[in-house]
Amino acid sequence: MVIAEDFDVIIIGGGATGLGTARDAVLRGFRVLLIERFDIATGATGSNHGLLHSGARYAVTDPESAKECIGENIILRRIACHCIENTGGLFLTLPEDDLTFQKEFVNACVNCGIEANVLSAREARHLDPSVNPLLKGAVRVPDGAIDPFMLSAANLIDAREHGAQIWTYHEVKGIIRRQDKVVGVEVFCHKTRERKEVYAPVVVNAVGIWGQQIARMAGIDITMQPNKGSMLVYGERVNKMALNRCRKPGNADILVPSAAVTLMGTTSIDIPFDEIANAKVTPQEVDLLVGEGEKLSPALARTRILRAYSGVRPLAVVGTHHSGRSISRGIVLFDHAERDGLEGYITITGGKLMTYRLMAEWTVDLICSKLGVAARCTTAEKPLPGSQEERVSVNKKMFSFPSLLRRSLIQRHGDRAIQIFDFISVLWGQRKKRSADKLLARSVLCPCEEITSGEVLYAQKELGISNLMDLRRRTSVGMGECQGEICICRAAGLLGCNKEEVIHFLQERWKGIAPVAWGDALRESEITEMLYGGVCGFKNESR
Amino acid sequence: MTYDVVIIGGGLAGLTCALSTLQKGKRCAVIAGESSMLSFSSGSLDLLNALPDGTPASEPLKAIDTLKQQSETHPYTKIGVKSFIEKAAQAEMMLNELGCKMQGSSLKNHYRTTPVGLAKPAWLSFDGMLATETPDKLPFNSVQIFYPMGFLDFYPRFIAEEWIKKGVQVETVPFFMSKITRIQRIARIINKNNNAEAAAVPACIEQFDKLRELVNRPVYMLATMPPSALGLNLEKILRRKIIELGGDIFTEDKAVKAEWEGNKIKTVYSQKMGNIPFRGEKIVLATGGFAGRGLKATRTGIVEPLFNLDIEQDDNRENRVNTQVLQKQPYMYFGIKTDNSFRAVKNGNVTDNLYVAGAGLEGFNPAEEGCGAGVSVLTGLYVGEMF
Repeated sequence: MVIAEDFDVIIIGGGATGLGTARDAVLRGFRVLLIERFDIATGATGSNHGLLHSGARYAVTDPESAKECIGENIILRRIACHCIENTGGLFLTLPEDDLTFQKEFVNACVNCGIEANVLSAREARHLDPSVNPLLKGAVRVPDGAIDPFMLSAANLIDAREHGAQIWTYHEVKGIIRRQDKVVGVEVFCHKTRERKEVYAPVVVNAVGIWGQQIARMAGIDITMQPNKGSMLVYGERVNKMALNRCRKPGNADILVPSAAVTLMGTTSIDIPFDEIANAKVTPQEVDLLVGEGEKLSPALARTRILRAYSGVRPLAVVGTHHSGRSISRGIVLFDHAERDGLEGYITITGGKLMTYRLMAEWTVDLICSKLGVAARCTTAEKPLPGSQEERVSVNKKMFSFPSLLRRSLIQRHGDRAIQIFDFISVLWGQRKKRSADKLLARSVLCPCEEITSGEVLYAQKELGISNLMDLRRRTSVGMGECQGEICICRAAGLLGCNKEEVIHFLQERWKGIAPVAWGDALRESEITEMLYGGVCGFKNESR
Repeated sequence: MTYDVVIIGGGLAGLTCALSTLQKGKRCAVIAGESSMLSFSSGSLDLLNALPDGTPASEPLKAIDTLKQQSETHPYTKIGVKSFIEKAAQAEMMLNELGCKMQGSSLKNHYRTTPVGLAKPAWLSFDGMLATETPDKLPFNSVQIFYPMGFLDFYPRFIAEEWIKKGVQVETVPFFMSKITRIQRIARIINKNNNAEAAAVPACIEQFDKLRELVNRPVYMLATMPPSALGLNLEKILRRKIIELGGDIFTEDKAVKAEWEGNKIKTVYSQKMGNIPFRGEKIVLATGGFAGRGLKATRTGIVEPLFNLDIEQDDNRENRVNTQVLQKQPYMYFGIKTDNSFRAVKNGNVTDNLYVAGAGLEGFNPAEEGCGAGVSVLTGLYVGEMF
């Protein structure tokens, strides 16, 4: 047992909320430690559908959430512009929908402060030719697309650069209590297989759906309702704008264009706790998503589905038990001193990716009042790393980099592309004419996503990755059309990973492909099987 | 255009089938696609590594009797024991005559080294590739692996890791290679760095025979990830021989439709030849499995896109796949139903003149049984000989 140094705040959970809280707290001068069981954005954050809500979706049913969304929407466009695509959004009224709802919808939007313009069917088709041509009407709202991985990574980088400690692959094994006060946590490091104790006057539980277990460790009861949402990834960018159905929020009615793909979501099914870790996308869900998706944009019928995935919404039950969509998706902040008489312990849960910053702000405000510190929140003004410089000037600084590679690098890292470019340039410009590093620096490792070996080496050195799955979250290696068929062995060879990791990666990818294994998806999978099982002779021993 | 045999598909099955029909003096056309799965080859051919129930089969000729009892629809069962032995020997001879020197035989599998250093059983490996009799013994006590710097599809570190486990001293030596680097220079590098009994290079280096002559110690080739230079080379040799024998290869073309007369195909049309039909006494379908686009999976079922032939499959979508990657995948067994002489079945009736060869056939799993290349070559030869 090692006793580590003291902190002011310990945050458990490395999703967007946890990372946002870490950043906020460190910017207000606290000594911060964040503990995450796996890697960042492995839970609900990483399986988000990537819609930058304008709030319109909730305007009718949950005006409070809608107002939070539009407020955060405006802030995120400013502080995280490199993670956001300003696509705009349309709420379509399809032949089977009731056009009278449109009026109620627009009124609700206006009341929440969301700009909503009614368009004719013709105008809508003109704005986005991929929409169902039979539509009756449409409303334009300021929706967009947001990349949850980039957003989490940017928060991580900023928190770390301001002095926060981020411990990934550390699992919380216990909460240390002294009488009616939480004073620290007991953690287990999966890499060194070491137990540690860390102390801080405030511990924040930001683990989303696993909040129930973490709370119980401190002897507190909170009830979470795991609610699964499944999504499909189409291999092409079919629509220009984020498409929604103009009706009360229901199943399978969002279609979001994101980078080179389109995401179709989502379903909503309550699941028991023991299914969270291996939530599966069922054939019924796939059929529902495929069918409803084609209604929004008929071109999807001819588009390849890359994979299916699901996430579990961290819905907290406040008061009596509700389920599914009717449960509040609003932010839940428990001060356990007030609620249960346990000092030094805070739970932040519920909410949405959209409101992660607001959740962080509320949490840190509470921490400030607990510790008697008067510090103002600055996260709404300070841009995240990646969004601190204009794209044009970033582009200028990297002009000697081949244009295709440059574009994709900036798209993935915003202004931080310059640092990667500098790193690659150092390798590239080495005096020694014939070195392996030099030859690797600009060679393309992943042809689907135009990722250079230099970028992968940078990720290994600077972005704190410890396996191929982490690499995927930082650089999107293996996320493209081939789903890792070509690039993953290359990346493993380059980074010096072991063979089990390659199999683990392929297994993770296959988990997403199997529910949609037809057409080109099955074809690529057969090639992958032949390549890794046949040519290379890898064996998957797990049951 | 009238031929005796029209072969649709230019992969390993289609090309060997063409070769054997041509050798019998028949006129033959091959409608070949853009690229074949040979570019994904490992540089070795496998005949049979394991039986359908998973028992390893180190001597394929002996195992074939048991295989017959385990699977009725397996292509090898349809070929029959006698023809299997005969065709395997014939394939070995044919490759030798073509000038593809091969190591190994159908009597006993040898072991090849995969791009990540594992040992896997194989039937035939190209001359110069590292082939061993047992999986845990190498023909040297120390070796140096020479590889071009910055080459991403070759993993000397993985290979070294496996070899060190076998008690061999391994050193990896990257060297600079560009498009104009001559083989003499590579030989000089290998000769100068003489620290081990043997040397190994990735199988992407051309003129390997010359390299072997110039180097003062044994040199072995090691397979790389695709594109496989050895597989493409085999394709080139087969194609050249077919043209030499008077066959016609329509490259980068694709059969698009056919006219039927009862149970008989009258004509086949291709994309490039437009309305000029291919007529043939016999038609051979060798378009491959899912990977070669000979089979197509849809949400509702598996189809054979060209002739809509009957497919052996599972109607429940969930049962098509195993949720564990790199384990027995049910979809690999799916394929075109045929009778015992490989005539395709359409709407429940056996067709008169449409034969199927290669990966599109039902009843075998190339990944689990290690028989992909063998099925292609043997069914190709078998169907070709029948005419």
